[in-house]
Amino acid sequence: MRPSPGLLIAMVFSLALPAQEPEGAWKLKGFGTLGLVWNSTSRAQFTRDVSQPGGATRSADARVDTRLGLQLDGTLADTLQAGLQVLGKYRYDATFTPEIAWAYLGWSPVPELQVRAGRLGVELFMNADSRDVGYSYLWVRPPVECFGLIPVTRLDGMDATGTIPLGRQATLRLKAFYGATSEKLPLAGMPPLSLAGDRIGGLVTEVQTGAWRLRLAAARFAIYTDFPGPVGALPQDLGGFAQELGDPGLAQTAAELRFSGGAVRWYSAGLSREDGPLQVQGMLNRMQSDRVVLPPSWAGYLSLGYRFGQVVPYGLWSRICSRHSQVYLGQLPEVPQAAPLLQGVDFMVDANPDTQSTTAAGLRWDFQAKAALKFQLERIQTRLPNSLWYQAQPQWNGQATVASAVLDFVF
Amino acid sequence: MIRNTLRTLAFLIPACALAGAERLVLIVSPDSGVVQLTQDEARNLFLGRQKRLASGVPAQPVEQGVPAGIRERFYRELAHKELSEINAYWARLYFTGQAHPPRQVPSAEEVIRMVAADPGAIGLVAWDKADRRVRVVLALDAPGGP
Repeated sequence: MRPSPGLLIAMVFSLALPAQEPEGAWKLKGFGTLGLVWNSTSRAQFTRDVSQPGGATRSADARVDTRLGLQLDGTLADTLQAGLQVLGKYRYDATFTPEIAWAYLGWSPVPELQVRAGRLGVELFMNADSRDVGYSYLWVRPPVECFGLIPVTRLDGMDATGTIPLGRQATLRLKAFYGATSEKLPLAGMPPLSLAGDRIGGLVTEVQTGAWRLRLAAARFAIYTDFPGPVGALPQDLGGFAQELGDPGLAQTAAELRFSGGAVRWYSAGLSREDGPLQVQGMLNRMQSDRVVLPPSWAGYLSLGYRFGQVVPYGLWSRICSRHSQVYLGQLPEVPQAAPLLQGVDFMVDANPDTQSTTAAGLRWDFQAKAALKFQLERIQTRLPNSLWYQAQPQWNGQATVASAVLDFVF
Repeated sequence: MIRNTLRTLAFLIPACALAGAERLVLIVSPDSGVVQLTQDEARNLFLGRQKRLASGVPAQPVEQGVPAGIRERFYRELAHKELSEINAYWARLYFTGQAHPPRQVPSAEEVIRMVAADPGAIGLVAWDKADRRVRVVLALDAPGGP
C-alpha cells in the first residue's frame, strides 16, 4: 500500500508536534490578568470588591485586577478526579499571598453526576465561581454592583451536580452546595472581619439550549462570626443602655446590630445568549437579610457585545439599589457616655452599600489564541457613603470616571 | 494539447480541494451503535453539555488539532463561534472543574485510530481522511459549498 499524500503530511505534522498527553496524567494549567486602572477622583478608591484594602485613585493602579491562578488536575481512576487551584490576588492584608481557591476530590459514578468534596468555588450567581478567570468573560471585570459586595467565593464542604438532557437540543444542570466560608475582609483602621466558620448553602438550576443559557439560583448564608474589637461589642454595650433607659426599641436595635446569628438570602436570575457575533447577557440579584450591616438590595446588569473578527466592542450597564439601614436610637444621642457607641453605630450603617450605577463601554481584542487585551471606560454614579468604595471621603460628589486596560491569558 | 491538459488540471485541482478535502466530518466507531448525528447533538457533545452518545455510551470527543483551520471551521459552522470564544468558554468550565475540553491529537490518523478503538469516541477529521475503520455520522457543508 502506498501512503497517500494526506497521510504523509499528517505524519510530518505528528513528528513536528509533541506527542499527545497520555490519558489520566496530571495536568497543570493556569490563567491570569495583568491590569491597570485609573480613576478620575482622588477622594475615593475604586475597588473590584469589598475584599480589597485599597484601590485606584488618580494614578494607575495595578492591584485591582492583576491576578494569577494555577490549576493542577488529575484523574485518579475512571470515576475519581482531583483538582487543586492556587490563586494570588490583592487581598485583605494588602498582599498578593497565594491562597488555595479549589482543592477537591470528585466522584462521577456516571458521566451525568459529579459529587465533590473539599474546597470549592461558590456558584452564587452566573459566573460567580469563574469571576477571577478574566479570559473567560467579555469585560475587564464582573460588574462591581453585582459582584463587588459578595466576597464569598469559596466554601469548604460539598457540592453535587447533575446534568440531564432535555430533548435533543437542551440540557438541564442542577447543583446543590453546602459548606463553611473562610474569607477575610478588610475594615479600615481595624483588624479584618473573618467569615471563617459561617455557612453557605444553595441550589442552582441552569437550562442551556443551542444559544441561550438561563440560570436561577437561591442561596442562604448563615452568620456565626462577629465584627472584631469594639464594633463587635456594640450590641452588648447598646443592650446595657437599653436596659438602663428601659427602651425595648433600643434593645431591638442592639439585636439587629449583631452580625452573628444573622442570615442572608440571595436569589439570582441570569440569562445569556451567545450565538454568532452577538453576545447578550443580563442578571438580576435580590439580597435579603435581617442585619443592619447588610440592608436588602436589588442589583442587576445588562451587557451587549458584537464581534467583528477578533474584536468585540461592548456596552455594560449595571446598578445596585439599596438604602442605608434606618436605626432606631431613642434617647441615646442625648446620653453623653454613649458618644463612642454612636460612632460604632455610624460605622455599621456606613459599611452598607447604597445605590450606585455604572455605564461602561469597552473592547475585547483576542490578538492571540489564548490571550486577550481589553479596554474599558466607565462612568460611575454613587450615593455616599458606600462600601463599594474604599475610604470614600464625605466631600466627594459620588461621581467618577474609571479607565482600565487588562491583558487576560490562559496557559 | 499539453497546454489544454494543464489548463484542465489547473481548473480541477481547486474544485477537488473544495468539494473533498475541505469538508469536515464527525466519525464514530462502527461499534458505537450510532448511525447518524444532528448538528445540535454534535454541538452539545463537543461543548461538553451532552455526556453520552445517543446509544448510551459515555462520549469521548476527540479533535484533529492540526491544521488549526479544521477546528476553526468546525466551531464556526457548528456553534457560530470563533476559536477564541471556544477557548473562553472552556476557560470558564475548566477552571471551575465542571468539564474538560475535547482531546486534541495532532493528526487525522490518530483521531481515526482512537475512534476505531473506542465505541464512545467521536472524532472530528477532514472528510478525505475517514476510511473503513470508522463510520461518518455527520458531514458539515464545505465553506462556500451547497
